[in-house]
Amino acid sequence: MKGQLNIDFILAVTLFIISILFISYRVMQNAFLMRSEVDKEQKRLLGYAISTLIIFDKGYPEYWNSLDNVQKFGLSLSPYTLSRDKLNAINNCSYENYNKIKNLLSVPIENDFLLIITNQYNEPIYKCGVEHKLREIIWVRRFAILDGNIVKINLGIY
Amino acid sequence: MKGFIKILEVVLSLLLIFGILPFFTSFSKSNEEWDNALLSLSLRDILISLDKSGILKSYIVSGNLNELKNYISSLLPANVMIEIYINGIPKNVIKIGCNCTLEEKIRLERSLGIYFSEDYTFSLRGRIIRLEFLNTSEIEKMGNADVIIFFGCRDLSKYLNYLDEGKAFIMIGNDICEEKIFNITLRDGSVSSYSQINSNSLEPFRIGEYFIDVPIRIYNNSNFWIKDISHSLYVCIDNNSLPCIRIDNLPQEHHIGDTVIIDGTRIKIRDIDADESDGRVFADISIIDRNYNFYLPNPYPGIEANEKTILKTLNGFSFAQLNYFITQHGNGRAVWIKDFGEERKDFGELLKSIILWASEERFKTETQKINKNFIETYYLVSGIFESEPYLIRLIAFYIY
Repeated sequence: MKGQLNIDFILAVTLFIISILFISYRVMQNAFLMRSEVDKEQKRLLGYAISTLIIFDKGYPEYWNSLDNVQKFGLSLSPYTLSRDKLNAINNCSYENYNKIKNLLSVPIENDFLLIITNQYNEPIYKCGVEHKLREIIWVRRFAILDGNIVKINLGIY
Repeated sequence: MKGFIKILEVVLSLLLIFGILPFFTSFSKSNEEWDNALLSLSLRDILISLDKSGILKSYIVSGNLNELKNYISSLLPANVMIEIYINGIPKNVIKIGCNCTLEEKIRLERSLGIYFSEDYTFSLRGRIIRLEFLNTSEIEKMGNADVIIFFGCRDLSKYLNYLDEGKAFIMIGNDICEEKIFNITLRDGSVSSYSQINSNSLEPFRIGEYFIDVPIRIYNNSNFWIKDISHSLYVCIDNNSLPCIRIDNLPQEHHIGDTVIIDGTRIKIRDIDADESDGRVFADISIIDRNYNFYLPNPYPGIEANEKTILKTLNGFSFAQLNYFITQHGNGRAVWIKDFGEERKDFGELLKSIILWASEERFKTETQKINKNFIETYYLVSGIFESEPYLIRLIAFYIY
């Protein structure tokens, strides 16, 4: 009959619309997840690169002890041995000093970092960086020596 | 009918779409690989830091691997378990099971220079090593042993699980049996009475390294052998009140640290105890020539030398054989050595070296059930001075 919709047609269109909606939802969900994972991977890689610099690089001048005169960032005395003077220089860093370190490390503008060095019992002994409550942080944990004791380097990247 | 076909078409097409689409839209995360990679990095960092700070060496010298395990675990997340295996150095406390009579046990102890309870302990490359004999002579009850020693033949077919546990068998005797385990092959021919430590294969070479470092205890007024000649040793005190020794009643006095040449063989004096108050007056000496000639008056039957020969004659016979990677899982060690007699302290020095080598495989933490998704990290500590080269194998896995 003209002007009347066939029940088969209605059913087919309904199923078609449901499937399109479902597929769209899945594609968007996965795209979001993928973006989030790529973001995490970039943060991990950035964190790893910075942690390597912290552990292996002395910086320049080699025995710098103040952020005023440092030209290249690095916190070690020798590979896996951190310098107490350099850590003292960055401890509880101000925004100005944080930005100076961020600039020396070439950290992208959209990222921030938080460096916390703890002893064997997870008690913080040095800290420098910024904290964001709403942004996701990815941690990279490394180990090194400070004055003959093992310390944990916790580097968080936002 | 027509409508039914349409619905069937839609259902089929939907099945196709839902079947194929996940291949294009699914996104698999690789969290586990990242977790393992970061854990592996942490383990390597920890081992390097422990080594550079000297903490690792202190744990190895004390031999307490379980404390090292606790220390490393305290640095790792709570859901990570670890196991530690040390390759290349002997245990600090070597548990010996002597499957033998009381007379044989005393004979074994005399061969090793053990006369008093204090003699079970000796110094090797900056470490204190202790030989601890189990209280049982029954092989069935030697589950705790690192090394099981016996004189003459035994049927070992029921105890192959011991090899899988990393234990070692040492057979002392001239009889031939369990050829496969001990890597023995009979050979006819004239056997020379002199043999040297085989330096052409790694494991015999390593036993040779222990041989020149391990001390053997000689008590005052007793004899020791160099090749086929017995020599007497007297402990003395020189004019400066320093402890000394004299050999074969000769007037020369030798002190701790001296190297003496006897019959063309270099002997190092490692320690002298001249204090008579405890009734123990002795000298700890070592033959330090790698090419020292071991003399055996009756070398028969002839055993063919091969790459696992410890003592090799110039005409290709063996006085001592070793074997390793014996079971199908690649575990276990075994040594067969001819019976030189308890008075032969050169043989005792070699036997001590063999026990050290045989105990190496059991230098590890108490093994628990390891998750199949474990990761492994190797770290090599190179030997300098009194330390020694060794390899640390660290296994780690997440428990949840």
